[in-house]
Amino acid sequence: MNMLYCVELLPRVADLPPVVSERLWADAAAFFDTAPRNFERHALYLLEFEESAEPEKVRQAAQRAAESLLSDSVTQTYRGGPVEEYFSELGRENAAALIVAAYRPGVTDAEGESTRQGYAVLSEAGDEQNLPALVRVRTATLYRLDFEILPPAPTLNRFARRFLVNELVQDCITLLPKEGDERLAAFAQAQFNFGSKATGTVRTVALREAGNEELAQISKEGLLALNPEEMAAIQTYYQNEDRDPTDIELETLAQTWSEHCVHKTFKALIDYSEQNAEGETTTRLEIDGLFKTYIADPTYKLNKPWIVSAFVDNAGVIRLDPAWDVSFKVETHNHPSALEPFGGANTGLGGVIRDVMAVSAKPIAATDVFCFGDPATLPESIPADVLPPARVFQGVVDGVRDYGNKMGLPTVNGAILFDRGFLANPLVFCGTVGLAPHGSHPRNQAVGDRIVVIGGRTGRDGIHGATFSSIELGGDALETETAEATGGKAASVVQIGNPIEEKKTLDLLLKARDRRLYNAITDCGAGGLSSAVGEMGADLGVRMELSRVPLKYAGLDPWEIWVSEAQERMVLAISPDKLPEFMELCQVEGVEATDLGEFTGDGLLSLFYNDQPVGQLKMQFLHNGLPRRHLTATWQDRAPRPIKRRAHYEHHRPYQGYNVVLQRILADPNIASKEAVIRVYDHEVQGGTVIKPLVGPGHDGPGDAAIIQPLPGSTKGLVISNGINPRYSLLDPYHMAACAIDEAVRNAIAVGANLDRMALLDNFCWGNPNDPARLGELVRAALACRDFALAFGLPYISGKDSLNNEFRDPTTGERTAIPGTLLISALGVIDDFTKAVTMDLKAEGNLLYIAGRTRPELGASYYAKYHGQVEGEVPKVEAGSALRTFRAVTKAIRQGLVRSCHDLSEGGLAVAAAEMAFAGGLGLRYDLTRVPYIGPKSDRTNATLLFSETPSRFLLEVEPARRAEFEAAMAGSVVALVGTVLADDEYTVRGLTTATVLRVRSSELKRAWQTPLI
Amino acid sequence: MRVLILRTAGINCDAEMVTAWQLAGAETDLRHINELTGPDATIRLDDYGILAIPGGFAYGDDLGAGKLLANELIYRLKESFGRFVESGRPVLGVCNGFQVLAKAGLFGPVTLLPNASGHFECRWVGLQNTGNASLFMQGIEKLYLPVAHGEGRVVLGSETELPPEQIALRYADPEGDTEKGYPWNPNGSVGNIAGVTNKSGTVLGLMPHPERFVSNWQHPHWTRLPKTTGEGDGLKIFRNAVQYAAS
Repeated sequence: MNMLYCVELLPRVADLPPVVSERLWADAAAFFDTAPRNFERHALYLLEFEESAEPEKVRQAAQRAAESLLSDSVTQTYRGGPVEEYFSELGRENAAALIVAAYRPGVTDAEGESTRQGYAVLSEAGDEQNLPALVRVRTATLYRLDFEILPPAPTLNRFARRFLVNELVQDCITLLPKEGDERLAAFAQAQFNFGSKATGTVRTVALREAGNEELAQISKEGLLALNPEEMAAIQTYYQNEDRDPTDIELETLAQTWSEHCVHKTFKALIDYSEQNAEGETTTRLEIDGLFKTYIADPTYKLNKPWIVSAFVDNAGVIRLDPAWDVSFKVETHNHPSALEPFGGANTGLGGVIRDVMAVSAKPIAATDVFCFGDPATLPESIPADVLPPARVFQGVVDGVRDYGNKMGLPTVNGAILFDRGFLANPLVFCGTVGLAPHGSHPRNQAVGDRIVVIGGRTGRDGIHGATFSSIELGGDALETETAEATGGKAASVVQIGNPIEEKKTLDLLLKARDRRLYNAITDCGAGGLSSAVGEMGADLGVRMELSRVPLKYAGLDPWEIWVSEAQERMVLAISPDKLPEFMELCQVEGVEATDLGEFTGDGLLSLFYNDQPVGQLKMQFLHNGLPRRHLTATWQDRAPRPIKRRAHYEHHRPYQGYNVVLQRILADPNIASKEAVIRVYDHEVQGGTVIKPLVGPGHDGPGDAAIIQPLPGSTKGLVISNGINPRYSLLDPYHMAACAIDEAVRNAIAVGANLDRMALLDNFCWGNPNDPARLGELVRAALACRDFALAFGLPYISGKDSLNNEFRDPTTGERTAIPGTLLISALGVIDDFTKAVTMDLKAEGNLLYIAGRTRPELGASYYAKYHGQVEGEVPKVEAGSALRTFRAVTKAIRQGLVRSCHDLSEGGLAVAAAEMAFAGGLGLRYDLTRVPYIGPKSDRTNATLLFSETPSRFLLEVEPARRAEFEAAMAGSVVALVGTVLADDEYTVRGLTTATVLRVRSSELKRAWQTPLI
Repeated sequence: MRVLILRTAGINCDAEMVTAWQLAGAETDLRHINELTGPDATIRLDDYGILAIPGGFAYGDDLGAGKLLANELIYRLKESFGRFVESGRPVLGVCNGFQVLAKAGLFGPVTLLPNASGHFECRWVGLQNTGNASLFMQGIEKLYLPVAHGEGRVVLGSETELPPEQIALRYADPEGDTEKGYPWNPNGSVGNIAGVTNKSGTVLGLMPHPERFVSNWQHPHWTRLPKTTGEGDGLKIFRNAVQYAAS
């Protein structure tokens, strides 16, 4: 029996009661229909000492730990005791309800591990008695919840499970007053009764003789996510090998062949056909892979000399200057974030940071884009097992905050969108920009090199993440997961991050890179070691001993070690003569590093456990044996229907009407201020954020793009921006994609970027690609990616896809897919960031210009949304005029002729102008009659000019003295003087019939825009 | 003048702090605490003129921000740390570094708790020197700097008051009023305290980041200001320390 001791921290200062957050207090009041009398939160530490320790020594040691390590001597005191004693005492004395919450056994507990290390520092100091060894520490939280009339235990329990824990990774126990029993101590003890199962078991799967149904069953039961053709290919391989596969071999194939790892859909041969609104087939195409045809080929065709690496590495890499490269990668982590928002988003960012580390770069900026369900969704409309949007939002934001801030990575740009289509399938895009000396990233693994894993330990966390992301949510997956919360397969797909482990690994890697200690590097992402080692050794062959992999706890089977997606691990190829120096460096940086085997040159993946062979596969089959998918895609053109205005709206006098519409659009959570989120991210760390996400004198205006100064003392700048608008997908994914590209570019151009040094990333999130209509939409979006990359001369350097973002309602069986969503992220290099501009109006009397023509494009606009519709003409990018406008704006900004610049996007001219005014704390007057327009005369209305979302447009502020120079710089593009900056707090718009159609205080518009998101 | 910039797992404002000290004319040496401890340690604290602890999340803020690294200063650097402070050589702790120094007990009954708002916050703040005459604050009346932290709420022990001369900086509104609440005081610190010195004024800990405002281009609205190539407010603190240590 171990010696388990519990320490509880108590407040010393009376005016700092340990009450829970206001939000939690409010949640409790709403849930119980009455405010709690008291609701406190106390930290508990469960300390497991070595078995041989004497009870008196343990008591002294725990006291010493509590005094010098766990408590803050200024504000806290503590109490504690052996675990049974402490909990029975707690049970006896309590007057309120008690809830103890803890991580489930086996789930990473970073603070517990820090405590153990902190204790080691105390005991090594050895200035007093010899302290007994502390084996493990687990943290827990004790809530005391009290009411006038205490609700029954089941109600309290429901509350706890809904608001205090996420059952996937945590568990809790509820006790009523004076209900002293042994359950609490048993609950605490259970934390340590984990991971004792015997190991080394290898199963052989009878595959050779299996019929089609059995093959399907093997794939389904093993969560392998392999289709009949793929299973058949595997069967043929083993028939030729004249043996059956081991479990680890099948897992290796499933991981390596997963949608997540090889992008089967984007490589598939596709038969595509388009029909017009009349039902006639207008186009037939045989597409030789979406990725190759529409993403890679245009990039190669553009042949930009400054691209260092596109598509082949973990991140895209371009030149910054002769000495430095910058890398950029955006990834999604959608499925895990749907189940456990904090952990999913946390490890999503952690993973993309490792992608940049895997090109030997230092991460220097982050960008994050999230899509959530409509926050106004009624609780009864939320399917069982789906988390409410507010909870997903909070968890995701907290998860990204935690990882990004702790990594010291400035989060400089992003977007947050809400749409009911994302209710069950939220999207979490995390991006990271990295910096490395040119030529410092080696890709030279060689025969004889050692395979070294560094960073975090391996546990059962995140097993099957890669294959799970190919399975839609709902039904079985969720049932399995609640039924077998810790041992169950779906449950283990959730990962828990430890950013400090990753930060240590980063510190180590940069040093190792500069000393040229490794020959190749990759990260352990989806598929864990199986993907990382399998890929690194694809051309060589690998011999690896799995029993050497450092584990968080005993009891993992070899295949679990091999595919675990435990976080914060990287794999390196190190030549034997460099290994000692590398290991020494690991010692200083406190990073665990383990030699697992070698690259062989025999073309085989050979896996051993305790020197016994557990699996062997030909690399050739593993990497080239996957049968190509052949899919069908269709697109049915829809004739646009006109937007109808709300009936009641006709009764308003015009300017009151537009005032209401504008304020409602500004308050739409998709457009409203994201300041509350931006401020919980450290956007200043590293000291290089020269154009920040919040701009203007009050630091609260919505900047278009961020600029990072990557090298102190140099005027080189990196412009980072995003474009995304899934609403347009409801009408036509082609134009959705075109507009996403235009928006990312526009945002970058608006701060001073130029098209000649800009690269794009594409991230597709879609539904089930086996549905021809769904795939047809994806093809439309990909077509636009090709067309506009070529038109604007913009290469893609990296991209990802996340498919099967569908939810099947377990009760009705109904399937819902997300709106097809493309995120385009742009990375621009500028030579002189000191010429950059921001979007806040600068001074009274300056002139306001609009660049680009407005067309009547209100389809899927926010004006249409205000009227409860999506119909209408979808906004389209007209490449020729867009290009002229982009180049002219870049030129005018570079010549120092522009005081502020803002792009027109969601909400059109009215919203962009309002944002410029209130961001600058100034007023504005402009005239719709002067806005350049193209389209049917009958559609030229005030509403069109105010709210049309035609892309490729900008508003620019120019000093009157620079008017002629500005107009000369803009020559060749469409630009018109439309208004003037005012000192007063006034926003006035003159309409087409010369009457004022909108007059409102700009501060009032700001108030509407600052409506809290949730 | 050689500055030792100390880092460990989770410290992440070290690179910009190196830049700041270098701009102030110092020679910098960035070292992991493991290089200063143990029998084979080759780096000795005694060989440096200034010690600086940058911001970040040492050990993930586990057990309270700064606590674990503070214990390492006490139990692993042992006498050499005490000797360094006693000798009167300047010690600067920024953000997490301040939390470390506070939890190592250098300022008396001062500690830092989670922000009163309950969340991490990154914003620019006005700061006022209300009578601190330490080496760091020479010629400094007010500063404009960013904060970025989740545990910056200064709390004093209930029995004692901090002598006012030990308070280096207080949060202030644009008019210099140091009694304004949120957001001017971003974390709910008692007395709007943003930074403190030890009794002798040789140790400064502050939550705002002077190393993040050493150049004009780091100012949050430089696009509204006349073009300059000037330096940022934060550099003065580093200059003062370098001048003092060199004299």
